Amino acid sequence: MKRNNFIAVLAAAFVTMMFAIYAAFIFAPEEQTMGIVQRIFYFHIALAWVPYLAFLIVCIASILYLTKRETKWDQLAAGSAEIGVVFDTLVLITGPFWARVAWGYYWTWEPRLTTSLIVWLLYIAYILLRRSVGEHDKRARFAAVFGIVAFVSVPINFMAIRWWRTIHPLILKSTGMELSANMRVAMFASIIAFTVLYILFLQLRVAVENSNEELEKLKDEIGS
Amino acid sequence: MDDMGFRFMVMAYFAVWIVLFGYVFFIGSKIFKIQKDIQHLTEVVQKKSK
Repeated sequence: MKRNNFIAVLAAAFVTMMFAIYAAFIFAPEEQTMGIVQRIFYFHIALAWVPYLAFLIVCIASILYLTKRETKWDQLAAGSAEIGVVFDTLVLITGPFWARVAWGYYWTWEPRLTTSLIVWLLYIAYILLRRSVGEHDKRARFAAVFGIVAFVSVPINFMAIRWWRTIHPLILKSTGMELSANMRVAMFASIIAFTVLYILFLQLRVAVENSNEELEKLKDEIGS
Repeated sequence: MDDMGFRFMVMAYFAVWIVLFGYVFFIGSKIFKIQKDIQHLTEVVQKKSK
């Protein structure tokens, strides 16, 4: 990990996050029907975007690993999957808080929520699979295949509110977004801030994988 | 509803930052532990080569 690169991303994450918080709490007007709890939406939607991106990276990196057999792609997939699960966990936490106030209950087995839980469980299984296989090449191969297959759940999750009858709000419609200009600014500010945070975490996580590999080599050297 | 909305919004944002800081701490401690192990094993390899 290049130090200057890391500091630049850290600074960008701080600045964009400060602006996102300002935009979500001060810049965006209060929504008339739901009131203050609607402000969860700015972070919730941004948090939901990151796992989509993270799992897409897992899928692409897995394909690249299977075709090129380079460890860096396996490391990228491993890091991205873990970060995706962290952000997906936050989606599953923030959503029910909003739902309790808006719908009157935390959870319901409707298509978007159910598929979100399935996506989350699939990528937890991906992480568990990585931990359960000891041999490096075998683990990377199994994980790559799983990472590609599991990605099928992501577009299903995204389209769930379009394909099936659901009570989950639909913000991004084919006709446009039902948001005022200031609300859009707050939403995009949050999306940018959390994307930069994802890049920052990914740099750290790949650095962990690199160090781990160095450690494995040293262990082999001592063992031989 | 607004009082309840405010409480739930605060709880949601609080949960987000707790989890994110927790994750940063988790990665940080992982890097620290691995670096320590690498340092130790490097010393062992150097001693062995002597």
